[in-house]
Amino acid sequence: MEEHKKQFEETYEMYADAIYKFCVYKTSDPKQAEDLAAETFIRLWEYVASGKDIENTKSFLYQIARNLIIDFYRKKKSSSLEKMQDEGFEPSNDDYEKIQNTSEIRMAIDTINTLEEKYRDVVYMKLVEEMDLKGISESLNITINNATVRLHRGLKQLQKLIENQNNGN
Amino acid sequence: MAINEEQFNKGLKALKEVRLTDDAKNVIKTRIFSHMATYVPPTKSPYFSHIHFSYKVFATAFVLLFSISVGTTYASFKSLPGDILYPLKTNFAEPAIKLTKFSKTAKEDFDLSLADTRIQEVETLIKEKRINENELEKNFILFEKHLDEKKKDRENNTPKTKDLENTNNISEINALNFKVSQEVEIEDEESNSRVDRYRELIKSEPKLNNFYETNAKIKLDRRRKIDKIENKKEEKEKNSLLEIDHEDNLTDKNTDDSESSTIQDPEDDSEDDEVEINNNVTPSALPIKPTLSPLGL
Repeated sequence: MEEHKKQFEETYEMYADAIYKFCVYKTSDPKQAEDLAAETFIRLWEYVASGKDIENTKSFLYQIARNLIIDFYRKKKSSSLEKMQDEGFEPSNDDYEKIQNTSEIRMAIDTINTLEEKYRDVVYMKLVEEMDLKGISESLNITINNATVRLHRGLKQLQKLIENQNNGN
Repeated sequence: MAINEEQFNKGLKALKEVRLTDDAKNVIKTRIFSHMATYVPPTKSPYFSHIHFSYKVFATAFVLLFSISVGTTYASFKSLPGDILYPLKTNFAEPAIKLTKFSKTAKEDFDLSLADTRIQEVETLIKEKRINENELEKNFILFEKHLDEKKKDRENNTPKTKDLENTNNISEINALNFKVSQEVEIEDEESNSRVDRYRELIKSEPKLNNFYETNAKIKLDRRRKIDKIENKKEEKEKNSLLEIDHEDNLTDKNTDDSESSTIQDPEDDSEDDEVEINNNVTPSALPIKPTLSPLGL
């Protein structure tokens, strides 16, 4: 068990930033991203402690993080904006500003999020995390062929989007 | 919001450099490790494991038992009297197959096929010189049982007298009676031919002379005799109906009856009794009472 803990600590040091960054990209909320990153590693430990094997730790961490983020949005959706506003809540960009201290980061994330949903994560993983197709396919639980097609179309769509925005200016 | 390629690339570069601060990293690490220290992996309930284990054991046992049962039953079809599997064949497999026969005709056919099987078994036993009188007796009892069941099935399959009474059309009744009696005759002949085959088979084997004399002969003769008596009884009933319908031919019919009664089995020594029984047939035993006939009015 001690050996497992040591290995787990190494894994945490290696992937904590990447998972946190991924959570920031998905939630635009640094505090929430910290919680989600912590929860991701807790889930990883629970999985390892139950005696199960993991083939690719990085991809597995991304899978956990994605599932947690989906759960996070489901919960958020359940407490509707209307209800929150009735209770005096006003949405602000303060939290967003905390992490996206440069307008370029914010604009880059917004641009990626303008893509069709199925292309966003593939493009993010390729351009930001510089992952190969195998890693992307494993992290998103899709085939390599599917990842290749999505990446190709996503990058094409991104290029077109930037061109259109420039022409618009 | 417009972004050019250069800005986008800058944004990507900045995004790549996003890191947890050292403080945040340590806080998260502490949180994770405190969870790890207290976390106990869930263990499966022993009760659940027991059920799971039992389920597997029972499922495996069931499949094994089923396979063995089917295999053994299938193998039993080739067994002969005296074999270990023979009781399985006669007490379980064959009755089970009969249960799958729904029509009465199918049941009758199956009874006859079983009687044939018993004959074939005796043939094989004689051929293989595996003669055992005790086992043969069991085979013979089964053979009789099949013919009895066949007879019972046939009776259930034959229109009842009271059903015929509901019809007032005498020609229809006569035609139906004639048809039924012909069918019965054919079916009886099917049984009798098998009785004859069984008798001939036993008589052909010198070692079975004792068995034939002490056991089979009496029973086989009795069976043949009973069938004959009933055949003649039905013949008489049929002729009586024809008498009512065609009074002009009465004399000819009686002559035919007396002629037919003279045909007898050389081994049948009870012909006088049969004739007596035939003569005792009363009008009430007819499938239809004469008073119901339009011709009787």
